[in-house]
Amino acid sequence: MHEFGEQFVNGLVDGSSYAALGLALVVILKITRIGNFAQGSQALVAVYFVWQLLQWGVPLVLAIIISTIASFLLGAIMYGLIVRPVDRDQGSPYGTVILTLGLLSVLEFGAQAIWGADPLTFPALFGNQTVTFFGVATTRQAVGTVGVLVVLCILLYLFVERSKLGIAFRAVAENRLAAASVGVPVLWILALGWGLAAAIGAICGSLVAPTLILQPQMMSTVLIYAFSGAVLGGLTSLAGAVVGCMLLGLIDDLLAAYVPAIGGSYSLLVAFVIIVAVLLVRPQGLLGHREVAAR
Amino acid sequence: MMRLKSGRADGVTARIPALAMVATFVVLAIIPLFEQAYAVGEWTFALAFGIAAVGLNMLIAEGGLVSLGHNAFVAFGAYATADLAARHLAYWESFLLVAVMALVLGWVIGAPVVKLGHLNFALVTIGAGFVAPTLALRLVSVTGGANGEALPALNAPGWSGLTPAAWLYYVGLAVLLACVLVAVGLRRSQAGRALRAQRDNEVAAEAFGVQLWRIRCGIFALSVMMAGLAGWLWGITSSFVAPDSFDVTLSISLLAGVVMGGLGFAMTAIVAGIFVEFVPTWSSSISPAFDGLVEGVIIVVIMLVARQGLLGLLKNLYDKLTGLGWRETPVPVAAAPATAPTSAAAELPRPSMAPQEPT
Repeated sequence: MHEFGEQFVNGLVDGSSYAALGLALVVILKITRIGNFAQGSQALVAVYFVWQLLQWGVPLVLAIIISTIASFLLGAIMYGLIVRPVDRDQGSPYGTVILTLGLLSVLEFGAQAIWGADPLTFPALFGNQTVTFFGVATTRQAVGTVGVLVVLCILLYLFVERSKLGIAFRAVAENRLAAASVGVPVLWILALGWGLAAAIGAICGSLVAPTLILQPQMMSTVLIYAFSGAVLGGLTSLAGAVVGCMLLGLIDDLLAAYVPAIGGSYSLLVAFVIIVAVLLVRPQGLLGHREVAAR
Repeated sequence: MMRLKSGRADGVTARIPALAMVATFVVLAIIPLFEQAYAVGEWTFALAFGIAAVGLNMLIAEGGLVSLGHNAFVAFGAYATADLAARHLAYWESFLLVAVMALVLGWVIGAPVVKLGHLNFALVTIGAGFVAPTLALRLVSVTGGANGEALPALNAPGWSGLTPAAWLYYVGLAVLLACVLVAVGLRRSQAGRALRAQRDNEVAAEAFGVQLWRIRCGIFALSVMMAGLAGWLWGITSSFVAPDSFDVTLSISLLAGVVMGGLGFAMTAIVAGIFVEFVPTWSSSISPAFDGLVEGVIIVVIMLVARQGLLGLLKNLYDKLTGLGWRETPVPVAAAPATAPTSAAAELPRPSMAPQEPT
């Protein structure tokens, strides 16, 4: 039972790191209908920036905050300068898919060119001491990761559902033209969404960096899992992204622990088979809405 | 037979793309006469990547589907060839078998995945691209794991009087030519028009009788088949296959090459093949990260400022200089029977992404 408990907790922790990035992806998808393949690389650059600040003697918490704010600005600027011109010129979805894949390459290899391919050590924000809940041992960092995800979810919920800006946000997601005609500054809202997503990504990256070890390919697996989880949960639903990513994290860890024949390197394959199967039955994902199915 | 515009555009100008294509293949054909065996091998790799690029170009420009799993399918072709060679099959036999197996593989993967929409399609294929090298490592009994698999050399037949390297190069060139001709033929056929119709407007295309699932499966399977054949040629040229040759970065390189050449042009595949083979060699001499950086920058810059790619720029330049657009020449659509339901749908306004190019 203890072993199962530990695997379960591991799954939840992995799931919550995917979920944070998944949230970022869905924020962008909801308002701009663009699948941002560069999301993971943006987070990667943010983490490298935190590392650089640490080298300059900035305390960890402050470094993460600075990097998150910088990511917010860069994300918004990136949308305005690079993504929007491509998105605006032609309605076809594959243009932006190609563009964000190009950005992925630029950011990932750009980071490698600046900081090198060697793995770097990154300190754990919450420390690596072991804590025990109900006989299940885990680390403070793991608990902290889940805690941060919960806080992020609550903040995002309050923002989207309760704030005036959130109403504008939902209006843009629902119908851009109608939102613009009642005076919502659509371009600013879209840029805000991209900035918000980049900031969430930066926080996510800073939390997973100690476990995954900071190196240029660090976020690519997280991105794939986050995307898959978001698809599983429904690309139009923020709650769906969290649920989907959590499920995926659990499936992944439990398979690796109990079905060694297909666990580990095959688990991504299994995850994809599950996703394709779910989507064939429910094309909108577990919690998605049909009418705004992502393109 | 309706002619949209008469005059000189029907004569020499209309044949420029075809003439350029012939000239390019002639240049490619004389390369082995001047190069050493090693350099000929490098050019053969470029041909292999070119074959994969024909399929990817077709899939994106005609089908509107972006696949990042092409590294997996090239790997499939290369490993299948190695395995069949180990079973003492001749290379022409494995060529046919790989083509059929890749076609079936493409259909099996495509059948559920093309139903899921553009974004999910890109996602699932990128997943396949990520899984493939790991699978190749883990399926030791089939792939030899990290040790890889060796392939016997292809000997030139006595009558040809060619070195083995040159012979293989010409075989590759013939395969590339065949693939390019298939792509051009497809573009001009009713199926090609149906493909472009579903790419530009799904609902309208379906209303005109285009069967979305079938045609998307078909284009994906064809594209995977070409990737498999690219793997066949790659495997024989390299005479050794190992998992690290087929990272997902290969897919991104192919995408960068195709986007740079210009989506939808028949010649793009050749540009892409040369790009994928030679640019990494050149750029990694500067810095190991430079390769991916260059590719990424090329994709982003092309998407931002010259969406038609280098060939598109050339074409625009030519149009400006002569004042005669190739675009005004009669499009093959006019030759189709007026009753064909898809031809009308194919003539909807098209995004600038994939330029119309009568080849």
